[in-house]
Amino acid sequence: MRYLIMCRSLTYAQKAARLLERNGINVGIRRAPQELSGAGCSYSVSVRANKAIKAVEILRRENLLQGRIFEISTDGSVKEVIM
Amino acid sequence: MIYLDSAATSLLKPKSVSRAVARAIDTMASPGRGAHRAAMLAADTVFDCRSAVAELFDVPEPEQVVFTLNATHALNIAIRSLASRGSRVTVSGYEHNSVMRVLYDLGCDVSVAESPLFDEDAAVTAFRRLIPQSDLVICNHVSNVFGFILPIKRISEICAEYGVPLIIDASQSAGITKISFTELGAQYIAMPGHKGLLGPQGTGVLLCGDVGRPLLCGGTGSDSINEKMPDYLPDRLEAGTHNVAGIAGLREGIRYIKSMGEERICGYETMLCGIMADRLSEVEGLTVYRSNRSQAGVLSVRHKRIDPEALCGMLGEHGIAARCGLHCAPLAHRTVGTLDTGTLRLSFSPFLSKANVIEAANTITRLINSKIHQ
Repeated sequence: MRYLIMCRSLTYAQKAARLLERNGINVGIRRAPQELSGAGCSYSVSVRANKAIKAVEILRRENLLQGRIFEISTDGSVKEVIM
Repeated sequence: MIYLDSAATSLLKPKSVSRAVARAIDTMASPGRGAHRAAMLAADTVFDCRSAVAELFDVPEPEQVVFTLNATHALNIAIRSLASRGSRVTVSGYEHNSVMRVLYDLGCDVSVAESPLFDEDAAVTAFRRLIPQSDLVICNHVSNVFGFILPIKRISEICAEYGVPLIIDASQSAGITKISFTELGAQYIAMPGHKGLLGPQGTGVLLCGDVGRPLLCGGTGSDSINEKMPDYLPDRLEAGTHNVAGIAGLREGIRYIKSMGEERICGYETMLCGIMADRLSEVEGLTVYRSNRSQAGVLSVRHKRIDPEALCGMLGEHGIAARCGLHCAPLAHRTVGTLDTGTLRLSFSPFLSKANVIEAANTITRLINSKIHQ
C-alpha cells in the first residue's frame, strides 16, 4: 500500500521529495491521476504506507502540505484520507 | 583571439558547460510534461539549477527563482509587474535600454537619479532626493559601460525606509559580486545566465519577491484545467517549454562559480582591469574611465581623435574582441558625456591571463600610436 500526497506543481513536488529524502524517507514523484487532482496536469509525492504519517508531519511542519492525500491499496483502489 | 567582451557574453566558459548542454539535448525532454525518464531527468536538472541559483543568491525558496530567456526578458516581467502608465519610476543614470525602453513603452513618468561616474555618495544622495516621490525604483548594480558598482545596499535601505519597491538589474554583477536577495530586500533581481554566471545564451533568471504578472501565458504542466495562469511561482511566470539544455549548462556555470567564489572572481577581474587601465593611461589622447574603488571588470576608453568604432575594428583585425558604440545604454553615456561617440569597452573574465591582458594593452597602444602618426 502507498500514499499519494498531491502537490500543486512539479516544483513543489520536487521540493517536497527532496525534503523527505533529507529526512530519510524514500519517495517517488508521480503524475497525479486527474480524478484525484481535479486540476488537470498535476504531480504527487508517493510514499510507502509505513512512512506516510512521518512524511505528512514533516511536510506540514515545513508548510509544504498543500493537497489532498490518497491511500492506494494493492488492488488499486483509491481512498482519500485525512492525516 | 583575446576575448575582452565578456560584458556582452562570456564566450570563455568551463568545458563542463558545453558538455552539459550536449548531454541535455541527447537525453532530456521537458519538465512537467510527463513522468517518463527523459522528462523526469529534465525536471531534476531544472530543479537542481533552480536550487543552486537560490543558494548562490540567498533566495529563501527555489520556486522564487524563475527561468527566463535573458535579463531583458526578466526585466520586462519585473517592470511590467510593478509599473504602468503614469507610474513614477526613479532610475540610476546608468540604466540599459532593457530598462529604459520598457519604461517608455509603458508610459511611465521617469526620473533619473543623476550622479557623476564612480561617485557612490552622490548616487545615494540623488536617489534619496527622488525615492520619497517614487512608486518604483530600478537600479543597475554594475554599469555595463563603465563598470561602476552602484551602492545598491544603501539604495535598497532608502527604498525600505519609504516602502518603495526596488528592482535590481544584476546583469553585470551576477556571478561576479556577492549578492544576497534576502539582505537587499528587492522585489525583483534580474540577470542573464550567459554573462557572469557562465551559462549559455538564451538563459536568464528572475529572483522574485512577489508572484508577479505573466508576460507570457500558456502551458505550464500544472493546473491545466484552469483558464488562467497559476497563481504560484515559478509556474506563473514560466509558460511554455523550458530551455532545458541552456539550464543544464547554466547549472554547470554556477557550479564553477561556487567552487571559485564570487569574491575571488571579482578580485581577479578587477586586477586584470587595473592592469589594462594602468597601461592605457599612458597612451596619449586616450581617456580611461577608471576607479580604484567602485569598478568591476568593465573598462571604457575613448581617444580624442580616433572614433571607437574605428579602433574596435582595428582591434578585431588584430585578434582582439572588444565592443564599441553605446552598448545599448545611451543614458549611461549621456550621464558621463560620451553620447556623441560612445566608447570602446574592454571587459574581463576569470579565464583570461595577465599575459593576455598585457598583450591586448600593448596591441591597443601600438594601433593608436600608429593611427595618430599616420
